[in-house]
This record gives sequence, structure tokens and C-alpha cells, in this order.
Amino acid sequence: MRASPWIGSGPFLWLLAGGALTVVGIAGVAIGSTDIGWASAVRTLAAGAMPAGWVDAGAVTDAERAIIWQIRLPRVLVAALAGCGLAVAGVQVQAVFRNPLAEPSVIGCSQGAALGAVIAFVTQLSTRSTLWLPLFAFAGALIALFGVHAMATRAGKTPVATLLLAGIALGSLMTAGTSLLISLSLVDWQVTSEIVFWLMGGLDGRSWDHVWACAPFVAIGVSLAWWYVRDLDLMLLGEETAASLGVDVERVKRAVLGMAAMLTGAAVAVSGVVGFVGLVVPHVMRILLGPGHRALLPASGLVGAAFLIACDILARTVRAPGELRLGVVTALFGAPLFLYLLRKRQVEMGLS
Amino acid sequence: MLKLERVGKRIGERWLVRHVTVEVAPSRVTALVGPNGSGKSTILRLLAGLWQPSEGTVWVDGTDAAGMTRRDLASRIGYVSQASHIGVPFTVREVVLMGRHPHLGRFQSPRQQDLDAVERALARADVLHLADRPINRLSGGELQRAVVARCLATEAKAILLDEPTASLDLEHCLEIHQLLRDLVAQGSSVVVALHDLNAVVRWADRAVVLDRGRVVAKGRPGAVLTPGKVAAVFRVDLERFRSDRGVEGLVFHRPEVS
Repeated sequence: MRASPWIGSGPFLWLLAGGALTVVGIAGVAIGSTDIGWASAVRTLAAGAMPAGWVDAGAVTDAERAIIWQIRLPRVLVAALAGCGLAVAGVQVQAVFRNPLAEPSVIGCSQGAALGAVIAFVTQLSTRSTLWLPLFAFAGALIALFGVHAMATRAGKTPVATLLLAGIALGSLMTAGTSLLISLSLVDWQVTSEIVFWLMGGLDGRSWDHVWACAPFVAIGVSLAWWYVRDLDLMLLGEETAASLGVDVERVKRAVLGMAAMLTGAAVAVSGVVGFVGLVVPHVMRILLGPGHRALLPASGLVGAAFLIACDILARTVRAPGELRLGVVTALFGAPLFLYLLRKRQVEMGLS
Repeated sequence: MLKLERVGKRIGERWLVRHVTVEVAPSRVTALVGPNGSGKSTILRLLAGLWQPSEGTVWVDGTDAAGMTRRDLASRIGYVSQASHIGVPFTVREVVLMGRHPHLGRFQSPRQQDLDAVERALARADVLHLADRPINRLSGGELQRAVVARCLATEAKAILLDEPTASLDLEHCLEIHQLLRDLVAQGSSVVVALHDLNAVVRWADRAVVLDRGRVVAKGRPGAVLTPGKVAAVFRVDLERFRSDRGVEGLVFHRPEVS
């Protein structure tokens, strides 16, 4: 039996997804090149989170405490925020397009965010403040989205097919712009390698600055996504039917896609280009929970966060002390799983 | 009540319908008839407030529909579109519950009255036994009845249906027509686009004949669907007869080539 989105999702789902996220999050803090035991990790986090004296941190050295608080925890939080944002954005885009294969990259959003971020790199703005990168990525995602929307809209209507085509076209243009900037800056080897590393996605050296840079955007985006949760269910019946049942279709489309752009921009800015999270996580959740967004949206957010933390743990342990790129890990994970799902059970959401 | 007053709808340079004045009679089944492309679906969408008219006014319960919210319109007008394929594995009951959307606050859970309305709608459209089946696994006829149930769940006073019997077998065809009669007997107003002129004569109280975006006749079906009118609009010859059970029937012939 799957949870019925219109009757309620039930506490079981929340316990399961929340528990998974907690366990993976603690693992993310405990595991690394310096091995810190699970018990020490939990103690240190608890000691830091609670008023002084409530929890005895025990025999944790200052070095370990610094590693946990200044290196591992921000990295885990950035992974959680980015994973949550990408998964929720994926759910939203898939609902609006009524296409389970849609992703922020389909509407040119990720490509726009990448171009914006690369501009920040090339102009060296990214070295001045950690805020410039997220802002440029966000701006790129928004510009791409509204460019696509404007190109695809005629007389107040945005047919999905036109939107997809415009997204592909503008996405290609953005990617070409990114490549152009990279080839122009090839003379500066350091900038180029920085860009290429970032384009492959990664969470190395994430600090609290990065957490604060994306947390507000993700928080706002996810809250607003919840605001439209029931409209998304009705959108799955088709735009005309949704409208006849009281959904202001064009307004919901604009708002939901705008939020997806914001979430994507925030995630891309702090984690680089990490693919497949917005594709695979909602897909798996849909198979487990059914199509109703009241369960699907929060579950995807929580599991997306846990998924990206887990991928990051893999990325930094597989060939420690070196690191794999995070985007490579999610693709290695995501692509085969996605292909398997595609074959195993036909795309259920329908492509009508 | 619903009324179109000198309404026209234009897409680009082309007028889909123009100079249309139609009043939906309360507690009556009004049939929209006309050849393909004559504007039946356009008029239903205008009546439902789904499309804004390019000229003229759509009146809903004495108010200009242009100033009403989508939710307000949805709670007054139920609409069943022609293409109703749903590819998502919602259960039938979940889809019918979505008919309660205009009555529910944004985060409000369905109340007992909503669940009751859903069960009533399921029963009346004869899909109660399908309630827990995924809607994308239904046959054409079952799906059509499920979609009608969703429309009934809105408990809107006016119900608009775009060729609801197109994919149904005879038995369910007659069931839908009987259901529409029951609805008007309980005070609803029904507007239905139909191709089957026999069904129009048998089941509808009024017929509105459309030809190339204009209303060319309206009135009692038997009085409106005359051989002359049918020849002019549908370009077929009409022969009327009375059945052994005393029901008026129509047969059509390709026009005599003389």
C-alpha cells in the first residue's frame, strides 16, 4: 500500500526519511581521512548544539572538534541543502511538464546557473567573496528560466512542448557560452582548473559561508514549494482540467518554475554542477509513494539531502586522501539506477 | 446562471466563434451540435470561464466571469473536457476527491462532507467498484465515468461536458444520458456537446446548432433539427421516423447526387 496524498502521508514516512537523513548526516561527520568514531561525532555535535554542560563531550581533542565543526559539518550541511534543493526542484519541474524525465537542466536552468558561476570565476569576483558565486549562479538560473519562459509564451499561454524545446535551445546556447569562456581563459591555468573542477561538482573546502549563502534560498524555495503542493497534484491531470478545478494554471506555473530556478541556482552555486539528483530521487520516491505531492515533495527533499551526503562520503573515501568529483559519483550512482528503473517499470507518469 | 452575450473568441486572425449569444436554461439539458470545427468546444470553454472572450461578456450567476477567481468559477461550473486521458497512477477515488479542490482551503484536509460527496459522486457515475484502481489502468468507458464522477464531486450547479459519450459502449452511453437527466431533475443545468443527433432528440431539452462559429438555430431539438437545417449545416439528408415504441428517430443519408 502506498500513502494516499489526499488522505495524508502518515508519520511513518517522516520517521523513515528523517531517520535516514540523520544517520547519513552523522556518518558524514564521523567518516573521513581522520577517523572520528560515531560516538565522538554524536557527542561533539550534541555538546555544541546544547547549552554548555548538558552533554559531556568526553575525550574529544581540540583538533577533532575543529575538524567536525569547521570542516565536516558545513560540508555535510551544504550537501544536504544542495541535495534537498535539487530534488525538490526536480519534483516541481516534473509536475509542471507532466514529464518524469524533466529536470532543471531540461529548462536550461542548470546551464544558466553554470554560466553565471563561470562568469564569476572568470571575472575573479569569486575570489573576492564567497557570496558572488551563488548570486551569479542564481541570476544565471533565473535569466535562463525567464528567457525560456518568454520565448515559449504566446498570448499568456506556455505550451509544455514549446517550453521544452526553448529550454533545450537556450540550454545549448548557455553551454556554448560556458565553453567559450573556458577556452578564452585557458591561458590562466589556475582559473581553468578551478572552473573544470567546479563544473564536475564537488564539496571540497565548503565552509559556513557556503551554508549561509544557500540556506535561505533553499528554505524559502522549499516552503513556497509546499504552498503549491496540492496545485501540483491537479496539474498532473492536465492544464485544462486543473484550471476547471480552480487552479490558476499560468500563475502556478510561473511561481513553481521560478522557485525551481532559485533552488537550482542555490544548489549549483555551492556544489557545482551535480546531475541526476533532481532526476533519480523524485523518480524513486514516486515509485515508492505514488504521484501525490503531499508525500512526494517532502520525502524527495529529505531523501535528496541524504542521497547527496552519501554520495559525498563516497567521493571523499573511495580514493582517500584524494577525492572523486561529486558530480561523477552522482552520475555513476544515478545513471545506472535510472536506466534500471526505466527498464524495470515503464515510466509511470505518462508522456501524454 | 450561465450566459454568453455577443461573445467572440479569436486566436490570431481567426475567429473560432463570433456573435454568439447563448443562455443556459436552468434545469435543462442543452445540447451543442454542429460539424467538427463549428465551435462546440470553444463555447464550452468560454462558458466554463477557461477562455477569456475576445469580445462580448460571459455572465456567471449575474456576474461578469472576467472578474471572478478560478476557484469561484470552479465551484459553480463543472467541466469535463474531451481529451481526458490521465497518465498518472492516482486512484479513481483520489482523482474524484480532486473535484473538491475549489471547496478546500490551501492546507485543509478533506472534511467528512467532502468524503461523502466523493462517495456519492462515485456511486452516481457507477464507478464505486473501481474506486481503488489506478486511473491510468481503466478502459475508455470506465475512465469517462470516473471523470464525470470527478465533475459531480464539485457539486457545481452547472455541468459542461464535451462529447462525454464518444468512447462509451451503448449501455454506458445510455447510463450517462440518464445520469444527465437525473442531474437536471435535481436542479442542475447541463450543457453537452454531442455528435449523435439521435441522442440529442431523445435526451436533450434544447439544442443549439452551430455552423462555422455561428449559432444558426436554437430551440427544442425536434423543432430545430429539420431536414432543411441538417442539410445546410451537416450536408447530409435527414429522414425522420417514429419507432415502434413511439420514440422519434433520425436516419441520415449521403446527399442525393442529382
